[in-house]
Amino acid sequence: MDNPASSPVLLVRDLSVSFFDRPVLRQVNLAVPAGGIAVLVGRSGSGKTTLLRAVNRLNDEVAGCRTEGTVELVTKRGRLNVFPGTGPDAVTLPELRRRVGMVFQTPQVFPASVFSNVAMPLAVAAGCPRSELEDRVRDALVRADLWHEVEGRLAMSAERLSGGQQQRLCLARALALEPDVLLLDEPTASLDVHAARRVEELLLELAGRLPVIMVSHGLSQSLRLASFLAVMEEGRVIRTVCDTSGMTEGDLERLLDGEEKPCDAQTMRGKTA
Amino acid sequence: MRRFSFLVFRALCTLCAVLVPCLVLVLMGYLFRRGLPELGLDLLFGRADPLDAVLGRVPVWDGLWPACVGTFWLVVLTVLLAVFPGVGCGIYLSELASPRQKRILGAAVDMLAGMPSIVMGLFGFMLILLLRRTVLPDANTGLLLAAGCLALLVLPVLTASAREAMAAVPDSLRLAAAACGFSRAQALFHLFLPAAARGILGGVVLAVGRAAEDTAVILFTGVVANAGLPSGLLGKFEALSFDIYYISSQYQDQQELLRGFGAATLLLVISCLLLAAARVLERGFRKKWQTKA
Repeated sequence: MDNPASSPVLLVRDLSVSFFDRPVLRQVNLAVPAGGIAVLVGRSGSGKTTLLRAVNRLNDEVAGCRTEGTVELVTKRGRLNVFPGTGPDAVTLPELRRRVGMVFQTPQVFPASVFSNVAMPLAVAAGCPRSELEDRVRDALVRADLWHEVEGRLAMSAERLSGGQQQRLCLARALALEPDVLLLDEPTASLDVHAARRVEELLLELAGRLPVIMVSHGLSQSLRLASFLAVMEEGRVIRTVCDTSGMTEGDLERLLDGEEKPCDAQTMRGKTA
Repeated sequence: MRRFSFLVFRALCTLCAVLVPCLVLVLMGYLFRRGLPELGLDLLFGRADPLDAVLGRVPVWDGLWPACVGTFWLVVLTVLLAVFPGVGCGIYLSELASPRQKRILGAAVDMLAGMPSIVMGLFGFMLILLLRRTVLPDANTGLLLAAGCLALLVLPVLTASAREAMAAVPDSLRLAAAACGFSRAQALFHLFLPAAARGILGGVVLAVGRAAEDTAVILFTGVVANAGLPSGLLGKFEALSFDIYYISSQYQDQQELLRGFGAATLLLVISCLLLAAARVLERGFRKKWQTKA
């Protein structure tokens, strides 16, 4: 595998994850370059979500999980030993998760008001002073392109927002904690086309400011968003693509099928590993 | 054939669904028809002046006011004694216990739930006998002992409801909380407990109802027919449930029987009021939690 980038944001070495002794990830090695959106693609059950959750160690919350190998993040604030989480570069799990924001496939709003959804993690988990809360909530909602839609309804239950708005609220909640990296697990899977496009635009805008790693099922969406692609199959990363310009859905489809030479130089100028 | 079985099954389910509200209506209708006309100041205070009776200046001998006050304090004390250990045990079982602890503690709670209330009463009575023979020769049955035994009786209800309410917190919320950087304790106090509050409160309401209606426990632990207002935590007391039992077994004439129906209606009204108060509390709490930062 050739080195995809000189300055990786995520380094995964020999990562194996199993649940109740059933292996889901097998000896994964991956270096995700900084900048842009890195997309993990693969068929259902290929281990994309498990790999994504290894970055903020959310797999640890699931019963029967066993992890081996190493996961490291290189962020603007320095090196972070994610797993095994020992040594001078390690942090506690709550701090790791504050520094690595995550948005799930279906919007996971808290059963509280719009304001509380963003303010509660800030106040409780990050210890943000009460006097700064209002400004930081507003700032996060503006960045998630939601402020003008909820400005007068901050006390309303977040569960009454539309699916697209809920997902942007989850994005605002993650952004409010000022993460070093943003993880997205098929963030548009439960949205209609219009709402999905809006979230995509937002992600492209955000990717200019912080590294984004996402899982996507949609081939066209992967091509629209990805500056780096990692193709997964049966718990392994079988291929990485550092430049997706010129790639077509057919090319990607062939990559997913594990064909050795998915495309020629004219249809795909990207380097594959 | 399969369709016929389904039709029969559906018909039976519908019948059951209709039967339950019908039975409730018949029961309430009968009770209210006999009891409602009896409700009034006379039923509560007899010949005593209501204001003086409420302020405790004059004793009430032929009204239900002392029994109402006794029941109120009995329920309040029971809830105060039982809520913390009951709900705490439920939360521990759901959130913190190892599988082995869950098995052992769960079995203990189930055993307690299956205990007949008369056994709880006897336990309280024996406890007093033991105390008299050992460290407290003056120990006697009273309000605190009755509330303590009732607390034991309602403990499994509170534990089971708290455990189920916490278990019903969706895994997705747990993952979302962890992903936001909440520690386990922070997530528990700020997200899971408020999310489970309705279920936990449901258990408290059930416990209140049980404490208000149970007669077997208090029969051995300090209730009497004519004690007046409870003199203190260790004093004898009257209770509506016991009054109903006493009147129905000892009544001399029709008038006295109707007084029993009046007492039953009063107990039902008090239970409904407690239920409504619990709902208002829960709504207020939910609103406050939802809008706070």
